[in-house]
Formats: sequence, structure tokens, C-alpha cells
Amino acid sequence: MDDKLKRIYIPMTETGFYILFCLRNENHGYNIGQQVKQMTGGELSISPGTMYGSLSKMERDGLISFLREEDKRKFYRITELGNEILELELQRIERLYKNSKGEFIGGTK
Amino acid sequence: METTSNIHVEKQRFYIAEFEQEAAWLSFMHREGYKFLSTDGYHYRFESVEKEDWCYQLDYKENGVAEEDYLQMYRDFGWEYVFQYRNWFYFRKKHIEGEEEDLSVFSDRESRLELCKRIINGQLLHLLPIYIILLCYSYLVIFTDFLNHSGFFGGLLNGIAVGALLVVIFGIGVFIGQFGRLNKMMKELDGTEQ
Repeated sequence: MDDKLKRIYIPMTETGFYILFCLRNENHGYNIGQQVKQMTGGELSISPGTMYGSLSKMERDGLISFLREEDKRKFYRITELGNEILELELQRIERLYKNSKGEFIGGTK
Repeated sequence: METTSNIHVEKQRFYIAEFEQEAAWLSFMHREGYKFLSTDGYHYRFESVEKEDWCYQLDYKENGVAEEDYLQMYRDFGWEYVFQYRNWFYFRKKHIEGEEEDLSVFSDRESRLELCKRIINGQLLHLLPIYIILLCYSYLVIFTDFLNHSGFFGGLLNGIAVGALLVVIFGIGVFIGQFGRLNKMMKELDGTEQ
């Protein structure tokens, strides 16, 4: 994987993470926003300018791919590259979580 | 001049780093009963309506194209697309009393930073080569013998050179001012300046 992409996307912004996470299944902008609201109990709300910008940027960088347009809405899905990045980010979040609970990585304490 | 009586025109100049002020002014006008229709960058056309609380927001799009999926995205999120002036897109959303909703089209720091970068790339940097050419021309005519002509033609060249120099000075003044403001906004977003 491109080191440059790693630098850009890891650590990921909260918005970026949720968008990429929601695109493990095909989806379009507004629906992603609704899903994120549901998942976070309304704590994270993504505005249209932010959503449009993030989707365009992720598509340009090859993290997601455009599938089709339906009723003027663009549907996307995560790519293999996007999955790799999401996996790295998930590992990072898991480490953060473990460390925050006082657990060390690698078994030694 | 407008012939219809419910059309109202205001003259107002907003520089490119003042998009937030522009949006706030349009929201203010709507609360005063003037619904924004269109602009040419200086004349703002309004329709007289009932006083209502609407929130206006501007987005800057690099390619300046109103793609259907772009407008649909805003519509889906409850924003009404109003008008496009060059690369600027105007949206509005009605403020509903008691509803705690984020009335901004950008919801995080990064996307606001991206907006500032888009404006700098699109609006400011593309003018630089023009200024440089004008500056070179003025320099050659005024300070060197490179284009040395006498009589009427020489006077004309000199006149144009002085004019070009003034344009460049004015342009660079605006450039520095707007670049500075955008830079300050970006620094504030980055948290490096309090």
C-alpha cells in the first residue's frame, strides 16, 4: 500500500471512519448520514458539504468505488484498498481502546 | 431597473474570504423579509416575502459544475439549492424552532479546512500568472529600454504600463488581504492560533 495514503488516512477523522465503515455495503451519501446518526445515537451528524467532499476524495484516492447512479444519487462501495486502510484503522482503534483500559499490547505488562 | 415591485436589489461587495459574512447577511435579509434570488457578485436580488428564519450557506466547488448528484445530496439533507454564481453555490434551510440541528453544510474541521484550500487554489492562485505577466510588462516598459519607443506610441505603451502596474498593486493588495484572512481561518481551524 501507498505510504502516502497511510499518512493521509491514518489516523482517520471520525467522519472518514464512519463513512468508510458504512461503505462495506453499497450505500449513498444521505443514507450513510442516517446510518451514522443511528449508530452513534445522534452524536455524530455529517453535513452534506462534508459528506460530498469526503466521498469525492475517497473515490479519487481509490478507497471506494462508484457503482451506479439511481434517482440522482451516487452509490459507492469500499474497495480492496479501502478495506486494507479500514483494517489498519480498526487495529489502531482497538489498541487505543485496550490501552485506555490499562491493557498492554503483546501480553507483557 | 426592476419593474416588479416585490423585487428588491441591494448592492453589496463581499470578497472571497467573506463567504461566512455573506451567508450571515443573506440570513439576516431573509429575517427582514427579503428572500435571496440571485447575484452577479455585486447586485443582490431579493423577493419581498414574509419575515422568516432561514439559514444560508455557501459552498465553493472547484469545477464549478452543478452536477445533479451534488444538488441532490444537499436536497436529501434538507437544503434548498438557491443559486450558482461562478464556483459559488448558495443553499438555504429553514430554521425550525426548538429543533437542535446543525445548520452548517460542513460538520467537521477537516472539511472546513478543505473549503479554504479549494478557495485559495481556485480563486487566488490562478490569478498569480496574470499579475506576473503584467508586472514583467510594466517593468520592461518603465525601467528598461527593451520596448523603447518615442512619440505617441511610446506614450501609449507607458500609459498602459502605469495602468498595469496600478492593477497589479491593487490586485496584490486584495490578494494579500484575502489570502491572509483565509490563512487566519485555517490556522484557527487547525487550533494553532487562539
